[in-house]
Amino acid sequence: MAGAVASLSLGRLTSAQRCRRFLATILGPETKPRPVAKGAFRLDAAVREAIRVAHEVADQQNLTVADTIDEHPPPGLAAEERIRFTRAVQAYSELVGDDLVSLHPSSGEFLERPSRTGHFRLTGRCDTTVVDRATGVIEVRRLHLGSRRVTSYSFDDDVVGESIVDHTRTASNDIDSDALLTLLITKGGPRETGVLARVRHLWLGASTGERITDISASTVSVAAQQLNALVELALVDPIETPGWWCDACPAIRSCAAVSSTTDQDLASRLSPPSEPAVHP
Amino acid sequence: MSRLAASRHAWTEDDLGAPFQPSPGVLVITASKARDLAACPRRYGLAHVLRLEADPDAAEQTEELALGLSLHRELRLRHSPMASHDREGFLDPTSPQSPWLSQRIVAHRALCPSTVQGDEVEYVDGECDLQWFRARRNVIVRGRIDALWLHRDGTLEVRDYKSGHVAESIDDDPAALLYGLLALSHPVARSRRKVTRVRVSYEALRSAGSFIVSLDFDEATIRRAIAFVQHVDERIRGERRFPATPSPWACSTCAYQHTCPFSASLGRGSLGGD
Repeated sequence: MAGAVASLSLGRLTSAQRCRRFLATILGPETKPRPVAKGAFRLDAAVREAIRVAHEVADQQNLTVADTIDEHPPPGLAAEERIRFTRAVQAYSELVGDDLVSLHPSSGEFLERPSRTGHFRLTGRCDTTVVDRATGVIEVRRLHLGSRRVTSYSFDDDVVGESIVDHTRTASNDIDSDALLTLLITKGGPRETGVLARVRHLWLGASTGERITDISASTVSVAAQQLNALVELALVDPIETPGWWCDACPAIRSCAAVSSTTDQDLASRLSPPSEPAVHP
Repeated sequence: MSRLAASRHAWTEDDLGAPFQPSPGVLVITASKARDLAACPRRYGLAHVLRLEADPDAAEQTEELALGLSLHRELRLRHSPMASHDREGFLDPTSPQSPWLSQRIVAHRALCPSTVQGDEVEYVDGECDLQWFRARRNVIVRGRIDALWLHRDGTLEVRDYKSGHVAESIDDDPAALLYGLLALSHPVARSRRKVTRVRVSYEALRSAGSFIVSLDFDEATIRRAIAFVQHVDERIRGERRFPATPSPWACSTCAYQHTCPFSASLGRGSLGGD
């Protein structure tokens, strides 16, 4: 009997592509979902929901999102979150609220697509997907509640990294997640049109910004090939590469590359000064 | 009414929002997280559980941080193979940061182990990311060490470059305690061959009056550092609402001071137009 095909979510791709063992583990048979902090995504969820409702009402009443968006935060958010909620929906309205678009059926939906090799299913969810009412172009909107700050300086510490570096933590050689999301939404076709979708990143923090990229069929094809090759390599040779992603790895307890020791072992690492060097 | 709501502050229970708590999975402890928790649990909760963006008015702190990062990068370049402290070519003379950086580089040169001890000391690593996984408690201690030196007597010394305030003693400094544990997780210490002692030193780099302050790790210090990790771990995992502990000192360094109702109650914040 064939086992269930493992899923690889776009949300884990940034971490998974940094360590082959991590990737092989989450594609393995005994992977459990990663536990998340309670409340960690409630602001994101509230902003996404407000934007979805605004688009739905705008579609029903033939208005724009700028006319329909509700800036009042939902209950349950802390004072600091409420300020950021209002700021985010106002920013969304200012940046794209007047666009004449309609919600795409895949907007906010769980999407999946089996890999060509059959080793895994790529899964993901888009914050907001719309269709230009005039041109029919699909636009994938990826929402970031922080400000866009880009620096060439790479830093991995949790706090400094998130306050200085573009918070997506992506590297220049990462597989293009915009292309993979486009693949999920458009199913990779029709190829003859060239451009499959437009991806618009929207930064809705204290300083706002946007980045727009048209994703072509060839870009999607390259990203899919890179992902397939990465998975093949991870399954054949799952070498460990420790780093900031280790805390998300289900295999951390058995990983030889992570310095896991007992308290006693750590405390006894110092050698007496007079002890001669011991060579294995 | 809760203890907090009964105090003199002009905020309501609703300002707290719904309860939130860290992931039950692996907990990552860094020096900055430990500092945030010690300064104010709410600061920790906002930054590391809810992961909220810092206030826009905290931008000047970001600029200070960027300047510090530039200094760290310059010093790392000067310790790379074939480089030296005297090499001025790294600095962009047109940059407004150059005079500030040059002064700190000169200050470092006088304190650097390679200047003071020459061939008696070996540069092991620079800007290295280290982590120690305390499997029993599902905790990772993680951090970046500015420079790691191995002295001929077997002392493995962490050097941390500081351009801001440095206390006269770092015996109870949370970051120093964590750095000591991280140094013990470095492959050099794991090899069990060379290291007889771990030392954590802060280089206070100034335009004038630079100095070094150190903490030596013996077995008792290591156990104290481990106990500190345990304490932070238990406090974080035990929190549900991350209550604020506002004070002029804590709020003045907080990235959320302008939107925090508790900071506002001290007359500091603006609540961002709420």
